[in-house]
Amino acid sequence: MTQPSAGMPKIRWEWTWLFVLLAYPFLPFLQAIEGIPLGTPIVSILIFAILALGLNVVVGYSGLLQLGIAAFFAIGAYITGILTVPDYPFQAGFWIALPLSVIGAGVAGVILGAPTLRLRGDYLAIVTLGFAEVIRYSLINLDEITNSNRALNPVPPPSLSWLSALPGGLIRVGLAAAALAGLAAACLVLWKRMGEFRKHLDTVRSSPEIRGWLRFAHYYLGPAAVIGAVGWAFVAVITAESVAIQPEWGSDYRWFYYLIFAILAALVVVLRNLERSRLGRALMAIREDELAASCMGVNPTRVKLVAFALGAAIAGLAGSLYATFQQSTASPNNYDFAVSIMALCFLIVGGLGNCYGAILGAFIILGVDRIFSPWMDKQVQKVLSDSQSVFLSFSNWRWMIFGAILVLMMRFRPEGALPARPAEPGEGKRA
Amino acid sequence: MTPCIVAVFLEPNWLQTFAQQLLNGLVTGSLFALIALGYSMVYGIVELINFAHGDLFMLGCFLALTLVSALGLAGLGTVGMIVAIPTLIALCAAFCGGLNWSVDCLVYRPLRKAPKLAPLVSAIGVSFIFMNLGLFWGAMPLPAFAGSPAAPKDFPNLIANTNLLGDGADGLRFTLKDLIVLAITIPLMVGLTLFVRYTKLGKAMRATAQNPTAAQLMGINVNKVIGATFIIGGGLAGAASVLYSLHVNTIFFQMGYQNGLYAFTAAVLGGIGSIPGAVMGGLVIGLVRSLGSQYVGEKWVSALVFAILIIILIFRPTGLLGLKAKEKV
Repeated sequence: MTQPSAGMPKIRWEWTWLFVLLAYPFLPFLQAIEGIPLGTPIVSILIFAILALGLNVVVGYSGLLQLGIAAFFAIGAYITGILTVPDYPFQAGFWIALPLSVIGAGVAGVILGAPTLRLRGDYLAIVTLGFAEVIRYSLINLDEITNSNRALNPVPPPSLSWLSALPGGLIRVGLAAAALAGLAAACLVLWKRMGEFRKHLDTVRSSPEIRGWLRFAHYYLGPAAVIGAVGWAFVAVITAESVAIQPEWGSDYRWFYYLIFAILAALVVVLRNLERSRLGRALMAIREDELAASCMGVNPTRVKLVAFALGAAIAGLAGSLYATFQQSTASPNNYDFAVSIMALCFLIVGGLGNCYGAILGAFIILGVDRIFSPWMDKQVQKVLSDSQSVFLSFSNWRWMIFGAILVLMMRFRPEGALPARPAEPGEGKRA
Repeated sequence: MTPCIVAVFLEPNWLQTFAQQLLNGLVTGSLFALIALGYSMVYGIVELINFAHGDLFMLGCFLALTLVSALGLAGLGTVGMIVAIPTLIALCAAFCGGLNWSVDCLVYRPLRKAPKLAPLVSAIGVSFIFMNLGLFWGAMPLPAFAGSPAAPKDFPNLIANTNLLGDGADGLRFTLKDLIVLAITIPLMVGLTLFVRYTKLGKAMRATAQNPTAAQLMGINVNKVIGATFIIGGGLAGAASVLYSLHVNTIFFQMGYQNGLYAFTAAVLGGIGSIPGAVMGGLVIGLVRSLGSQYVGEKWVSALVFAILIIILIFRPTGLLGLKAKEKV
């Protein structure tokens, strides 16, 4: 049998992950692993996932090798910094700075892209790389504007003062209603799934392989997690003395978590629609065969420029969130070539051209970098408490491991963990 | 900008300052050119941006320091140096060439038919591995590697820093180090050009670069030729690593990134794939760096290099000496 899953309903893993991620801050046993807090790293992973989605538009959809995404990340962060920091007269606040950062980074993308997009693949790569270095050195050297390595700070957290204009009771009722609705929806999904699942239970029982258990987990744990999450939210709202209108952005990572998660989710919806839109198809047509695409009436220069600007704008969005979350634009050296390469590796590991792949790549690479490797270091320290050798620290090995993984992956699975669906003939009739 | 340029000519001995920076630029530029040749040759033949090349150069520097420290070369006299430095260069060149060749065999060769992004990402992976090896190498139990493994290491000053052009306080400075750099890089570049133009293997390299399939049909063993290219490119990086260590006197495990970036920029500036282009690009970058630090400001030098790269590519999309590529249909 070529298709072991025949007869089973199609699995939509993305829903499970969505549920798990949504529920995550309400799962108290997942807040820290042996003293390594998870909240802050996971928020930065979400921010870098947004950056990866931006790069995916350029490299994944359109096939333009862009090695300078860090420049637009930095531009977004610094526009937000300049617009919000007390040193400047603007102090516009997050909600105004965010769209302006996106626009500013997009415009920078057009300015870089317009003269350079006629370059061939590798020359384009080096020009974008050079541009990123120019931006970084300019940020370091323009001391009067960017405060050089001391960075612009403090970037204030998003203000929710417009919420306090609403009467408190209304908010509580609204939140409670939303929580109840979510609970009901999740129960409905679980109930429906169980009905579907019972029909196929025998198939699962008869397959001892791990895939059967994965399916089991998928069918029960995802919806169960969301019910837990919504239930927690409901309990929190009901038992709270009063709804906190002044959220503690600094001490409680959850506010940023949900803000950035919501932005990421909205971005995924937009990009998934873009993939099936006229523009998205034009981008992929250019990636597959520029000459053929231009024969079909696609204007390659214009479409490439749009992709470039869109990628830059999304990177600017990530930069703006990064600066707000860090409460500082951070030193310009945080936006160097390594960031661009890292973002490219997210796409490669996750799956080039696939939104979920980009996010998965960010979670795998940064998860190992920021959570797993400090955890491993602690484990090693426990066993060998007084060792000073370089070799006995997992962190010192991670570049080698990462490099080896990239090399092996290119050899044995070049399409990444979650490869993009290949374009099928007649696909256009759907949608 | 304009008052700055005017001020340059108002200085009493502006000509001498200018000549000094020109000289410095030529020396550092020829080092960059040597590294850039490795990028350019490999790109010319397999269309791969070898991101690991800068880190290969870094490993060469570490081997040079290990040899100097383990063999106690720092105490030798002039005659000893005349023997030791060429030996050092030969060993490092052999090491880097061999390493580059084995990476090609293990990593890039299976990906010859793959899309172009695959070997590029592999090269990034190899670069990470090399960088990590450099970090571990920094923990070697030798006196020269004392201190934290990640800390910069001092390379002993093997060559006297005396001025060859007399000791006048305001005269030009051209030291023995500068002379040695030029005396080794220039013959290497000339030799490489002659090699590629006149030998059988050089001809085979050019044929493979033009069209691998046709070259194979003519009886050229393409994989051997590509391997030879990697050996030569790596060997040049190895030679450059010794000269660089002798000239700059400090090495650390992340040096490959910055120097590799400059050398790669040099290769692209001159037209990647072209040997005279790589040399010219290296010299241009060396000159921009030295003249820029004199007349624009030290801190703007790096931004200036990349800005010039962008401007040149906008007006000459295939570099200064690059051939115009035809779109393949």
